Amino acid sequence: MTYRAVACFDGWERQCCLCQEDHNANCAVVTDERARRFFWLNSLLIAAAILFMGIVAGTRSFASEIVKLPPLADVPTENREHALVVALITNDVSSEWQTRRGSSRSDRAIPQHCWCAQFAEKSIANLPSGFLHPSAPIYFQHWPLGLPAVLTGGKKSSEPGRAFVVITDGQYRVLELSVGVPDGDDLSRMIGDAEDTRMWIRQFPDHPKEFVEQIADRNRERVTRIWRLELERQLEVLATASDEAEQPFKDSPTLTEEIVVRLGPLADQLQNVYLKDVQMRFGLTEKSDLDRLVVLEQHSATRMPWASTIGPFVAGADLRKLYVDLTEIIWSRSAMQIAVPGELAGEPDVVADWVSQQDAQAAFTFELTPPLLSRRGGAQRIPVSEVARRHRLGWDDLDAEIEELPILRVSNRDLAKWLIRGQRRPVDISRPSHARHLFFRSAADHPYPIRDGEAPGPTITMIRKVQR
Amino acid sequence: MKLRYVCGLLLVLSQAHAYAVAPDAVVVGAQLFEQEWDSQNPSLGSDGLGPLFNANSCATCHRQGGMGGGGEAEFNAKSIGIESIEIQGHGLTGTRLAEIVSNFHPGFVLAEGNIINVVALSHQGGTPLAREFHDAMVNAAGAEFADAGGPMDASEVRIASQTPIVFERNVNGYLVRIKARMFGRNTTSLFGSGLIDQVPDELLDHQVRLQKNHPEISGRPSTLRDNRYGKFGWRANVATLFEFTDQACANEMGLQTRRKQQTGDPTNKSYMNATFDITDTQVQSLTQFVAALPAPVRSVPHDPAKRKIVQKGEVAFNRIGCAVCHAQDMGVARGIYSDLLLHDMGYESLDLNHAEPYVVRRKLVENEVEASFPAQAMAGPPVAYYGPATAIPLPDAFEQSVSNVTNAPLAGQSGANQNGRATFSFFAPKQPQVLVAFRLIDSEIKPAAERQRQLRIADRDPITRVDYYERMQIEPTNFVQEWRTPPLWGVRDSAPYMHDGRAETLLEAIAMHDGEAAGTRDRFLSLSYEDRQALITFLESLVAPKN
Repeated sequence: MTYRAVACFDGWERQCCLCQEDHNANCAVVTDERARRFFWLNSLLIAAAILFMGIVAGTRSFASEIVKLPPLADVPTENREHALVVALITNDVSSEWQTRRGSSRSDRAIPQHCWCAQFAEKSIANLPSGFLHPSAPIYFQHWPLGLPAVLTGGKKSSEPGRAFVVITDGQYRVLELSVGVPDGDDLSRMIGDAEDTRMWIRQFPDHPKEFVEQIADRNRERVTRIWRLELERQLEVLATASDEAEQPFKDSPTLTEEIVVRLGPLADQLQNVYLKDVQMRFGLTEKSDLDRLVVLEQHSATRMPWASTIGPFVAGADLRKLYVDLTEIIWSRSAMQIAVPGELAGEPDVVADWVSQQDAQAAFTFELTPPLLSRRGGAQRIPVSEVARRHRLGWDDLDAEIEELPILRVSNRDLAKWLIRGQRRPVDISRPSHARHLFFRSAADHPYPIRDGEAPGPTITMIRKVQR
Repeated sequence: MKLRYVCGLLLVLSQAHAYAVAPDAVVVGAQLFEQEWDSQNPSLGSDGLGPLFNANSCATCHRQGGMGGGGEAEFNAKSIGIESIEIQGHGLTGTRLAEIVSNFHPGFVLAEGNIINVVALSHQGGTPLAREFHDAMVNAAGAEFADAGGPMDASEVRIASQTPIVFERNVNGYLVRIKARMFGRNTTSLFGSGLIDQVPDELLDHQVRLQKNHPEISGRPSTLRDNRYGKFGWRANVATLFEFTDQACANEMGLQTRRKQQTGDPTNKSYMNATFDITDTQVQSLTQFVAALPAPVRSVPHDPAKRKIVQKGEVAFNRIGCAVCHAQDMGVARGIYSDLLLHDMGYESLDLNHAEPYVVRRKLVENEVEASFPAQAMAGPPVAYYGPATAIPLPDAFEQSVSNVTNAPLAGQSGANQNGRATFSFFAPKQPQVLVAFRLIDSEIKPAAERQRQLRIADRDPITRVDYYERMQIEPTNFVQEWRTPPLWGVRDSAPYMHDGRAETLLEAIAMHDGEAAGTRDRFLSLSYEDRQALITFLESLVAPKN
């Protein structure tokens, strides 16, 4: 169900018909022949102009009427109720982290540093005219969540472009999700679906289970049997969880918290199904084929069944609380948090403050948060031999050593800010394997990444030596 | 009357014809194409449709984009192929092996006692027992099947083809383990078939030479035993449209022709059809109708912006090497986008009805033998519709010699396992194992010997006969994963894609290219997102002919 186009075109058609009827009625009272001729000529011209406008409006691009907003910006209160936000989330690096060598054109919905800007612009321009209505605006946002060079070892990432689109309501509640660059048809379909989802959320504000089922009923028809089975399974899991919950979710924060808690196991399970699905659909048989998958995920059809299955279970959640986990689930990579507009200048430097409170000559560590799916897969660390464990050189021993040190959990954003402001050496937190901790001999020292893919023995020895 | 009009239009639309197309024959052919056959044919006194069949008319399956088009996955033909057999137990003979394999499915055992590793699993017909075997296989494949008989959609095709079917049982004291898989064949579009029929073999040779410039590509013609090139079917194992039509009648609908036996019911081996089910004139008419089907067309968008995208996509298509195999023109078949050659598409594309072995050299040889009668003219093994199966070698020498009907590779062996228990094992070969084969062409009694024969006829002494053979040297290729480059004309209207319809979208189909095509596939993935989309848009401009 799409309401936007219908309202717009009906309005024009009705106006035209009424206009003609009114004139016919008025004809009787106009006696002057010239006036009558003039009137008819005028009417014809007006009618032609209305017809022309109608035709043009039906076909022309609406790029000039696209409303853009910075990521996470507040939607104007006056139309928050009916607005939609279309967030294109890509792995581009935000201009916040880049040296400013030229500015992007301000009249573009998608900034030029977006890898898929050209195509995304076309998709937006191809939206049917009725979708862009002043009383129910659509705000387009680009969220560049790629890691800056300071967190990729000083090198520009060579990874293929990645993108996904989330449509929310005016309060950033998730309504629809698609992975890849949507074409015009995809985007139209997503907006129509988002409207439906919003309607169901409003219909069952205290019973998320009900609107989840409504969305699932719609999406079920679009996926293959293995995904339908998975959808049913997840609905059962949700039903069990809902039965156990004493209170229904009454507000968005509670719903979001519940969804965040459920997201890990849900994503884990869906990832397994997804990998089996793409293995068969695209002939991916070896681990190295995952590189091909990253490219294929630029096409929205690739993850469509996954998005259709997870969609009902994230609907209604506050995207602002969910986007980092969601991004890291989809990309299996760390993502960068974005600044809330207006807070950028006054952002506190949590890390610098904490470091300054430490003994200048003492060692300390930063704990980095791994991507959600890596966090759940405890077996990400390389195995340690029995001999090493006997010599107290295992992962548990390393964790114990780290616990003895002052430790601060830092976000990627806090870390990047701290490194840049202190003009410190870049560090690669993802390659060759994920760094779970950064060890510093002292505040003046360069960070030493403790990686999941490297044996813990040498690190333990180093920490012990420094601590002695 | 309406049909006659449509056929007249077809004749006008068709660009060229391999035959002197008679309008009346086309009209009759069109009627036959749509005709729903019954299980009796009183006019010929034959059994008509069946006993086993996939559909009761050609038009049931060939319908996408209009009559004569391709078919959805639900109309896929399906087969079961044995990948391996392991049997433990003493005293295994050919007869016992046949009994064992029959427990799995009796269709693997031919009437004369030979065992092959692939059996077609017809969607309809047969005795209740035949249906039981059919249903058991379908259930074991783990996929969801449509009423028409094929998998519901591309995703079910993938499930069916990747689910191992394992038969593990103690049969008469033998421990048996048979591993098999279900394979499928997607209904091909017939648009433009008349033009393909006119493509001379020399053009295929020309393509082979052109591809020598591309080291990663090694297309080869489908060399048939009778020294012709095959051009029809997913394995290109049928040489002419007439033969293709003839075989389709027999295999898909159980309509026995003068040349081709109908698919027999393996649970009723003694049954014989009284005569053929469709006359030669009818097969000719059907062929003429199919030949008259127009070729697919290019749909050029009116919008200049969209037209530009299509052009951009075509440039990318040529630049990354798609056009090396998907050659735009093959003589009169302009816009076919196929070289009609066989290419190794990688292990994942395996199907045990293999391609014809690649005969690279043929030489005439003579062989003098002493014989009291002239050699019988040998027809050679029948041309297999889906591609030849492999004969499973029988476990003892005596029975093996009896079974010598084909030159299929010997892939079975007997021995003993570590416990001293006798074992028999068979593994379906990935390549031909016999690299030299002989085909008897002619035979004559030597003139001198002829006189002797006349003199000695009363004594019945042996006389000299000269047999002329063609010695065929075979080059080993991965013949279970070699497929004819499918023509891309009309591709928009022929989903799902690939030989068994495992790809729902063009993107999936491109990503599934492997083997020789892996490099081209990777170059496709290296294109910018926009170029990739443009290439797909270009492919989507290749559509079925209007009406």
